[in-house]
Amino acid sequence: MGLFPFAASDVLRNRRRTISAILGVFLAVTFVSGTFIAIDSSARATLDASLAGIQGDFSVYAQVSGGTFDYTILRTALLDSAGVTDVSLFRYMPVYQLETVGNVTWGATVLGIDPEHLPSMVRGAEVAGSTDLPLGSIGLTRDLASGLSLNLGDPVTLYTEYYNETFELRRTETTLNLAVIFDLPLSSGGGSVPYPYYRSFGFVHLRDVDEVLLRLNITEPSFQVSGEVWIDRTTYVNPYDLEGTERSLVRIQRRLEAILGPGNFVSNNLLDRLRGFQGQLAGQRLVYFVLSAPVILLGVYLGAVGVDLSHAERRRELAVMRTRGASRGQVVGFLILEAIVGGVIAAILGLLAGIGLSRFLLGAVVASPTSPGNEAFALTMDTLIAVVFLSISLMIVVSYRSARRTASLPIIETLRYYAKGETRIQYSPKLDLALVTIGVADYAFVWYSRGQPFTFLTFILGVIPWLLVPFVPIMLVIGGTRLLTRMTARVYDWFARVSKPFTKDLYYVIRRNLQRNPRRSSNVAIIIALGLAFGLFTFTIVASQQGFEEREIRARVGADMSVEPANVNDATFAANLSTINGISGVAAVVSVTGVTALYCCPNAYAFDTDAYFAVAQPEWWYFGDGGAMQARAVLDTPGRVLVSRSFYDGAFLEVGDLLRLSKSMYNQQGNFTGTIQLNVTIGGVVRYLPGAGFGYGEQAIYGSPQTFQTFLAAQDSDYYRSAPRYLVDLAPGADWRAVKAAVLELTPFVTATQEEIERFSADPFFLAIRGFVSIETAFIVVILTVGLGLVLYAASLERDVEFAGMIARGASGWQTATVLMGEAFVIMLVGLVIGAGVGLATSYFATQLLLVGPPGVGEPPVPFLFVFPWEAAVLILVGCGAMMLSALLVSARIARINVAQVLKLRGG
Amino acid sequence: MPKIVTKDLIKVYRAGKSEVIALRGLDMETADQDLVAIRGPSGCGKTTLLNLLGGIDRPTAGRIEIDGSNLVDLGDADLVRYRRDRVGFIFQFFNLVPTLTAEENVELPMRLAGKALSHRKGRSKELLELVGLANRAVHRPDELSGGEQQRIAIAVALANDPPLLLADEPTGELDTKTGQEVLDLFEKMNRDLGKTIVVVTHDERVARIAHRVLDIRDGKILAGPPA
Repeated sequence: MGLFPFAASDVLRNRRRTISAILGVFLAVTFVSGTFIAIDSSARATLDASLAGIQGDFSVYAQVSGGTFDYTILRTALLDSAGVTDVSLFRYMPVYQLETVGNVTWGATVLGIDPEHLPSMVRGAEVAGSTDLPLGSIGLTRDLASGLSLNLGDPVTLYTEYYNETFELRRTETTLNLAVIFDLPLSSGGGSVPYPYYRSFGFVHLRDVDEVLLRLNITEPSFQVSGEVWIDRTTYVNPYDLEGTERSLVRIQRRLEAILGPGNFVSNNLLDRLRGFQGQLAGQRLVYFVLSAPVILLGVYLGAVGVDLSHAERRRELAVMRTRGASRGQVVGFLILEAIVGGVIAAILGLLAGIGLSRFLLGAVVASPTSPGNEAFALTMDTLIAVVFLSISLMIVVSYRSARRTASLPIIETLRYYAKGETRIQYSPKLDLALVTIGVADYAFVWYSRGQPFTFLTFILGVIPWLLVPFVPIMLVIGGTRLLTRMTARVYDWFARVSKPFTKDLYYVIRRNLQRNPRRSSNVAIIIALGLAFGLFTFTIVASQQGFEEREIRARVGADMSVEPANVNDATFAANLSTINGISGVAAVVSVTGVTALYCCPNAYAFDTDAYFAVAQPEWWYFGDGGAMQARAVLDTPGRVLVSRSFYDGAFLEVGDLLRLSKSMYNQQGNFTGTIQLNVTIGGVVRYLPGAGFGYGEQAIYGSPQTFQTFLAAQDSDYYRSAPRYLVDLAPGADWRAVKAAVLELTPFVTATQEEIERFSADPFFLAIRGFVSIETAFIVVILTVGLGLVLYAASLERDVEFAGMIARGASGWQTATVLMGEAFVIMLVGLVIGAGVGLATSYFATQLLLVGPPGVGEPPVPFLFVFPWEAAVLILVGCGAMMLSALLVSARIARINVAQVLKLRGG
Repeated sequence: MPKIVTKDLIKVYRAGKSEVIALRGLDMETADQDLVAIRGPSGCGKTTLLNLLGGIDRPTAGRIEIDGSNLVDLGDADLVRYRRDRVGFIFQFFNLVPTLTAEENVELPMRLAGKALSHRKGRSKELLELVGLANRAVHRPDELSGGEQQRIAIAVALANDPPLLLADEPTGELDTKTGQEVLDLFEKMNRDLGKTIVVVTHDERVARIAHRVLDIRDGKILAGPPA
């Protein structure tokens, strides 16, 4: 530690050398600190996102006994409580059936609400009509109104049925006017899938609930009043002081409980979510830290090169230290002390730069539809400590090996005025061979075990290697690049020849110079290869994932749109649908209900072959050998069917097997009336077919209406029959939004493929990850550019005399500069070829392996196809262009070198 | 064959706010095929003069005529050609390219001049024989002794057969015996090849073999008798 002042002053005195040494770690720390600061700054937005969808900061439940109840008094009392900003009271009514003038009935949940303080369920809903809800009026959700084919102003009958003292069924009813229709946001109702079952709500004015119940002859001796209480979150919820926030919320809860009185209940919805928030933030930091691994790894490699250069510059100085009595350990310790000081400097600079970078990352760390504004800034102690610790640790890591190597060099060799060049370090390929072997073997094992059943052997050969798959790209890039650039000098020969057109006769100088310092050339090539591999891997995986999701959406929907009639008895629905402007084709897919086979439980689907294929246009990968043509031929043959792969494999079937199907029949009262038999022959196998029988492990049989004629004819009178599903093909250039709006006039049950894709693409989490990855890739390009520039700059300083000598002997400045440019080009080419090759190869295998999953997991419903996006090509072009520009700027210094000054300084 | 004439040669170095006047109006003249030794204490401007004669630095003022051509009037491209074809520089610290073999170092100036492969190969072999190191052709500089490196450097300087050789302390890093071998080479080049040689030196032996000895003090040539 006695050397500490010396180490510190050395670091601070020689700024160029220090910058060179800490640059890689500084860049890595900048990215990590920028990410953490962005997470800190967006804590409120993250909290808001996690609190989205809760129905009130507090939920209150008050039991009321008999008589009329003044909701206003309760609301005012709750509102007067400190911190409360809004209260919404509502009451569930014991009425569950609605009916229209056409005697169409529908089950629904009816609530009394306060139109001036709507509950969260309908806040944000699009409203048609007036929300005043005068006495005698009712509001319905859009699904319910469409299901009952009701428009504003139509009469709606609420009714209830009961058995009297003599067990006779009695009915009471009251008719209200439909005054308002609410289009609920998808998230309301509690489910992410908007089944109509969950979205059938009716609303009357809270003050009129007793009157409506009176008309229905319903008396409630006691009932429950529910409420949602909203507080001033800005004041009482501080994501940076969770302990204080918990205290505030508990005290608010106590005040509300005091207002409600004993026997009633207050639910603290905020506190429940907050208790997990600290862990959520920590998890968020961990996830993004892991996602930052490519940048950290590149920074470490660049740091190692930079430290190596700075130690090489000072070999003579350190040798003098040893002649004065310093031991090897003291020299190592001295260099580590310098690394620690450099780490502190890198941490300070990294934090400052990270603040700037965090402004770009704000929208990429929060899975929320809106990102926090630039004014949101916070730097927590956790982040500060993490960044400083990371910076110092990384500097020690990158410095240690070089320090030991430098301290071990023979004194006499390093005391010469001209060091005779890099000491030859014996390269051992063992580690790199092991990395490449493990990586390739891992992919081979995972490939072998995919789709296999789960056994002990496939566990050893599949599951364990499967866990290593994310690390394989790193292993292959590092091991492969080091092998190619260190094990043999031939790679420089090959690639140097490519530079011949512009370096001309000097290419052999380039080749030799790269061979002179294979470790440094190899490290730079690894940095370039890693950066490109990571970037290409990430872009292709994200694009392939997006393609997979879109494919899955399309397979689930079945065509451009999927439509189901609201009324199963609507005979004119198909004709009306076909006439909508923008629709070029409609195909009905009928689910043959109640079908069982001797072998488990397939679902049966019937459709017209020509119409289906024209509308659904199933892709090639749905079919096996023979393709769509053979599948169509099977469907067109009465009595022959196609089966899904999962049914085929699961029931041990073969093409040509006879399937005995039976269908149970039920009358309109739901009573079993008998069974119908039908024999069909398996004509072929498909993966699934879009719009029918789609999903993991779905077992399905597909046939023509002629094949299933017996079942379909009986199905018309079957109690459990369902309406066909209509697949819709849009005309070229048709606007799906306009078409959907027209279809909604007929039925609320329409799903548009493009809308689902846009919803998926706009998913906040997906957008956040995509945004983060894009910024990270751009940062990687910065590291590559800076890395190459740093190494070339340092190399040029080391070789000033050599270059000056060349110029003195007749080379022009730019001729000499092309030597450096040529070296940069060759290193970049090596890195590009290896990085692009490994990056694309590993992402290709990842797409073929990862989604399939470990042994025991079934085949995915749609294939995971490899997609090479345009962003990947841009990365290669921009990355290479930036690196060559960096090399050009460094080489320009050589072209303008002051030969006399350099030679004079060196005693020439 | 070149005749060197300098007239009122001035070179001023500026470093920040300070100025160093290395040459203060230096006049000199050498005849064709002269072997000239330039002596002087450290900092007197010897190396500066050599750099100016070699076209690797430009004077602040004055004229430098080499065989009638004023170097001051030459553009950058012309100076490149001058350095490549008309001058051979020999440095105190050899300044060989460490990654190239002896033969490749000798070939380098010829490559820069665009000479054909057959010419390069023949010429480099000839020059290595001239300096007595044909058997060390495939060795790199770090495998050669100081004297051998300096002899290779001489061969490099002769690669494009320049009429003028400039040597800056060529024996400064060598022992007595090796230094003598190098000086013998200089005599040989001057006598047998007709090269005009200007040597900056502290070595008295150079003064003994030189046709003329010029002493520099404070940036000017002192008048003195020929060697």
